[in-house]
Amino acid sequence: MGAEILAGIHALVWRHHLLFQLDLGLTPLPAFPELIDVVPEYRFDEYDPAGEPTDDELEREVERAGGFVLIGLKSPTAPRSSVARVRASISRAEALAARNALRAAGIEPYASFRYSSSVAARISASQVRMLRALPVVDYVAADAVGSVESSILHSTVPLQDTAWGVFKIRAPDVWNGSLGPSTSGQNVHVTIIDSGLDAVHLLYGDGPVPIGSCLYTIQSVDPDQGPHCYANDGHHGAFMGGIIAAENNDQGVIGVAHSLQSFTSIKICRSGNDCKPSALMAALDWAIQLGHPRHVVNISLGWCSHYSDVRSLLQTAANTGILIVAAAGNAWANVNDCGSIGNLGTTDVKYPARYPEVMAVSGVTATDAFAWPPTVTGGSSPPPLPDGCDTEIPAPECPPQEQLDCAKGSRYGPQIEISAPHFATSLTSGGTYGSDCGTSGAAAFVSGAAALVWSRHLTLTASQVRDQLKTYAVNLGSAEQFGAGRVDVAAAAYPPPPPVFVAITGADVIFTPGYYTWNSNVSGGTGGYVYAWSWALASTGPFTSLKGATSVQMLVDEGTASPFWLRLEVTSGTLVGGDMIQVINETSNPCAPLVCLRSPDEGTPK
Amino acid sequence: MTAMSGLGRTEGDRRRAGWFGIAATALLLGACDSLEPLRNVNPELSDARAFLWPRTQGVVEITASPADPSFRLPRRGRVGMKIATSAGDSESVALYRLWCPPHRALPLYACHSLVLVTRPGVNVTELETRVVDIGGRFSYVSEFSPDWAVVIFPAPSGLMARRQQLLDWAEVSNAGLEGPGCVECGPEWLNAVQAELAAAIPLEPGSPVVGDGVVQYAPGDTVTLSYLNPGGSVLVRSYVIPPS
Repeated sequence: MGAEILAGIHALVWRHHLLFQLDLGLTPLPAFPELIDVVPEYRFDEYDPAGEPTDDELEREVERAGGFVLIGLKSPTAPRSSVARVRASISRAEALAARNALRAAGIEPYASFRYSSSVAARISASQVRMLRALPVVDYVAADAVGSVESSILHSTVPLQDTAWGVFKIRAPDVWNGSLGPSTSGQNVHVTIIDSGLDAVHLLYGDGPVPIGSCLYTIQSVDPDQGPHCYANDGHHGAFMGGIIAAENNDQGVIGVAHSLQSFTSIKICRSGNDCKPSALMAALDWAIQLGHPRHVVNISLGWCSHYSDVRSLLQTAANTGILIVAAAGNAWANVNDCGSIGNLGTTDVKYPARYPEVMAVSGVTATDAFAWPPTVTGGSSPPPLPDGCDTEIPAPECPPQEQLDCAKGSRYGPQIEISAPHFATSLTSGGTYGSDCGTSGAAAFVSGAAALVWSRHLTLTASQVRDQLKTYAVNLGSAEQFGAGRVDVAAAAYPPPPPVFVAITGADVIFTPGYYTWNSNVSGGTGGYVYAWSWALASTGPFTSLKGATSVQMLVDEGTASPFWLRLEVTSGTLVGGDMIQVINETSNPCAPLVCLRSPDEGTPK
Repeated sequence: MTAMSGLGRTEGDRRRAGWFGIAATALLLGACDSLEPLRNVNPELSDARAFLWPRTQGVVEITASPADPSFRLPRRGRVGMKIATSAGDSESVALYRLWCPPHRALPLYACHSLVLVTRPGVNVTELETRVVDIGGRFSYVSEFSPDWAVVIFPAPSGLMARRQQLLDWAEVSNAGLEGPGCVECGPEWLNAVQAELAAAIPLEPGSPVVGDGVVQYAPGDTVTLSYLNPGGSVLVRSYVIPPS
């Protein structure tokens, strides 16, 4: 039932709202030549003002729909599209003002749509005329889901779920701040180079606005294809985008890095599977030009052959500080999908993941086993579930059964740097959600994880983020299969602090009575050092406490024991470090210091 | 013991001679392959796409997907399609294979396009006129790295010969072939990718001249592809040339 409802609302959303201007209240980004990523206005070829219902008719429709409506918003000064036959674009500020105007009129939207000036609300039929009279309202349309009971309200879109893979890599531990300052991707830009995005999914929420960029300049007049040059071909790009950045908005799924500063989809595949190396080069060109200081590029696609010009541009991108993550490629049981068209074997890592400039990602199952294709030796079909998982009872750490029935395994080889969940639930095309498997998703998990780590440690370089992900990955064994291991973003974002290092500096032989100061050099830990000085007659103690902090002062004279031991323990959080020195008191030695210093061969002063 | 023939040759000699004859005939036929007339093929197409690169000497790229992914365009075969503009231009284009089969250790490669990379200090656009002179057209021209562009050669392109011409230019550092990539790879993709068809036709600003082999356009024109499927249905795809 939920699925039909979802399909219904999305069909409506798609039909009515797909064609809005992008709300790009952002710093202009470099555009591809001949780019049409913003359509100033869209002509509603299908729109027929004569077909617009009268107030009475709309009231009846709204009643039949149980009060569920979609309300198109506009600038108060713009003519209605029923008059102008052109839907004027609306800025983000105008959209927000219009929503406030609605609220002032007693209409509380329950859903808003990114990239769209419309909102969904539930009203009474008697509010139709008032609503239509508001200057900020472009149109009111009864929603298709209106025939259901009000209890369905929250089912018009699926309730947000956190997919098991997101749990597996411990992203929630980074979001919730349980290990330190929380982050969900702020200050990081992610670009996915793929088959496009699904604009319907991006209608939700008020987060950062994704930016679509086109490589191929198309303004189709086919309404099924939509006007956006980044419109998704198949579900692949939307799926990867969802794993990385689906918003935390109580709907659908939640992305690993769901509060990115900005997010770009560059569509390089003309149809689902016509992705040329030159298109990747163009996308990299764009990414380099963007010049963002914390930029992760996800490439969940591959080629079967080496292309030197692509490699060259990847090197340039890496040298400019972009972290490039790519899928190792899928392996199929007994079939090499590179076949005769390239020079790679059945399980060889594909290009561009093969290149050292790129972080190559393989896939692991829910039990952290390598994601073999089902019938390959060493694999099982379907792969086992983690202990305690019941396929009938969803749990965060348990992948749904359908994900396990996967014909695609992971490629592997010495190029693999890290691994990540091979199964995922994410956005699909047409505003729906679904499950899929493959290294494409694994790469997306790593890209999201990289964004979190970078967001947590803003001063790191791309290579440091890459190293940090690998250093704190969960070691699973074979480096060819898993690289450094399965990504653990919480460990990488909150690496254990370095041990506390303590060194005491100051006199260790004293000839003249007086007050002496010993200082400390302390590093490591998490800061917040607590100093504990003490002294003793023997290194084994017992030690007597001394007052001091970064330094300590003592009176040393003839009455002071010799030798004595000075000890400093420094506590930093749960970590402790220390140092101890032996101090020889020569103040009572009559020959000191000249004899001893000049004739060391005479031995220890008596 | 092999029986001797009346001409003093053995049975084995005759067999060998027979094979030589077959081989020679095959070689001759091969050499004359280019003389074989092109023939039109009319497969069922499930989709077609046009990619518009409007420049002074631009190009329209067209790709099409046969409904049957096991379809393979026969040698000397071509698929006819019509391209028209809202301003009145109308041209016929012939589609050929998008990907050429592996050849002399080369993997599968795009039959009609390559990546032209210039030596340091040479802006690739400086070569555009010469590229046009040898039959090529620029499609994507890098805006951010001035040293590369994608060159399309309308089919049948003789791509390898054109590539060698480009490589012989002093300003050129590489003329790279391209292979197919995929997001949803797998056996089905491997099969389907080899069925894909492609065509290209020059695209230039101007008043329409029907049948001259060039699509003339004005900003805002609609370009429409149409293809008559064997069952009688017409596959139509329309695109708008961006307003300038």
